[in-house]
Parts: sequence; C-alpha cells; structure tokens
Amino acid sequence: MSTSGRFARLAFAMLLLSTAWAQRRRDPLNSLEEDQLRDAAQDPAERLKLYIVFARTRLTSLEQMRADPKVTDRAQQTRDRLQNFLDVYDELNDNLDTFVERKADIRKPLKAVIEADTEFQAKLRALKSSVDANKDGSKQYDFLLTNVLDAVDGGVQDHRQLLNEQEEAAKHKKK
Amino acid sequence: MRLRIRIVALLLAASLLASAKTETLQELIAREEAAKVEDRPALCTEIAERQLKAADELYTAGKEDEAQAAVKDVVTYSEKAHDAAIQSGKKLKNTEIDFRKMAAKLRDIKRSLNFDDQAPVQAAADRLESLRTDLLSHMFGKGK
Repeated sequence: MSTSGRFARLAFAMLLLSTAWAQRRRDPLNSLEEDQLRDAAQDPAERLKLYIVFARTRLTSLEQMRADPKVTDRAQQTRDRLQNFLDVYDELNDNLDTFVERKADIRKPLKAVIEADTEFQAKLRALKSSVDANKDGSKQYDFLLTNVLDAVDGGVQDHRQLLNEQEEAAKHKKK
Repeated sequence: MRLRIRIVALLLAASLLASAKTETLQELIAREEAAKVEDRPALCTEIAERQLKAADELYTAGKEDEAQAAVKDVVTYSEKAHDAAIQSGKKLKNTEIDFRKMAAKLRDIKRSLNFDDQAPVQAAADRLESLRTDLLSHMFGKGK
C-alpha cells in the first residue's frame, strides 16, 4: 500500500475514534457556555447567574419541544431535556457548595437562585400535572421527572437556609 | 445516679461523634474492607466523595499527578459502591443520586483545567454516568 493510502486509513481510524469518544462524552453544556463559565471563574455572582440562564434555557427548550406537534419521539426528547436540566442544576448546586466553602458572600446571587428555583418548581410541577393527566409514553421519564422535582424541592429549602445563614453571618460581621 | 448515667451516655455519644468526624481516609478504607456488603455502598461512596474533594484541592494547588490519582480513586470506589449496591440490593437510589452529583462535580472540575488535563476527568465523569445508568437499569429490573 502507498504511503498516502496508509495515511488516509490512519486518518479515517482517528476520525472514527474521535467520533466515538465525542458520542460517549456527556456534557450538558456546549462550548460557548463553557467559555462563558471560564470567563466568570473568579466571579461567583456572574457564574451563578450564568447557571440560572443555562438551566432556564433547558426548561424552555423542553416546553417548546412538548408544544411542537411535529415532534415524534416526545418521550425520549422529554427524558433527554430533563436530564440536561438536572445536570445543569446539579452543577449550580455544586458551585454554591464551592463558594460556601470559600466563605464567599453570595447573598445577592442566592436571591436570584431562589427566585429561579420557584420558577423551575412551578414549571416542573405543571409538567408533572400534564404528564399525570395524559400518561402517553411517560414511563420513559416518570422516575427522572420525580428525581428532578425532588432535586429542585430540596434546592429550594437548602438555598433558603443558606441565605438565612449568610444574612446571619453578615449581621455578626457588621457588629 | 440516673443523672450520672445520662452524663456518661452523653459523653460517650459525643466522643463517638467526634471520632466519626475525624476518621481518616485510611481508617474509612479499613472500615469499608471489613464491612458487610449492605454497608459498603455508603462507605465506598463516602471514600469516593472525599477523594473527589481532594482531587479538586490538588488540581487547585497545581498537583496534577496526585489529583489524577485521586480521580482514579473516585472511579475505583464508585465501582465498588455500584457492585455492592447491586449485590446487596440496598441503597441503589442513594448511590445513583450520589453518582449523579459526583459526575456534576467532575464536569465542573474539568472546566477549570487546561485542555491537556481534561480528558481523564471527563472519562471519570463518563464512567460514573455509565455506572449510574446501570444502577437505574437494576432499579427497574432490566439489569437483573
């Protein structure tokens, strides 16, 4: 086989490998969102604001998909979009934990997170009611939806408690 | 007399609590190795979570090699937690939720790293996702 033929085969094998790796790789954020997060690495308020936007985008896309009559694999797409939302919401919580460990004052962004929690909770509960009313294909994501609701319900409580703790700590600092 | 017994009991409980809090990683690993299979999912997950926290701190300190070793431990102990949860049929849901949160943390760590250091962390996150999916299959009877 010629050198160019061997090179072409090698390049093809590498392409296949990279495609397989990309398919296996699971990341809820796209590269643009990753860049935005990287730019906000040192700013807790900005970073948390971004996570709220990313989570909201996932829920909006879920609502739009479910309202689209042309969608055929609704159950699978609902499942994927719910999982994406949950992944982003988990990362938001993980960032909150990190900022708390660093003893950062996150009272302002926390208020925005709590407002977003309430919004997410309402949207997810509406979805749950609609799913309970029309059981079509919901088996695929019923458990996940319950998990997502549990995560957001838990988040609401944790975030409010955290805000109270931060307010209390700020009062003591002032004294 | 009763008061004395109460005080002793309280002191004992406090000392147990304090010793549990200060348990080192090695002690925790030793406890896991001697534990019953149904207690292993929680213990292995705790070890994995501790190593995940350590990995985060090591990457921040610029100690990439040690951080990668800690990430490897995260995967090893998650695999052990997965196997024990399936074998015992206990703590499947808790383990699945813990894996989900650890995978999120790994992805977050990955985003803070140079491109060259990202691959093993992403691979660890993917492995945890795959273990999680397998646990879900068992929970719904497909993996039995």
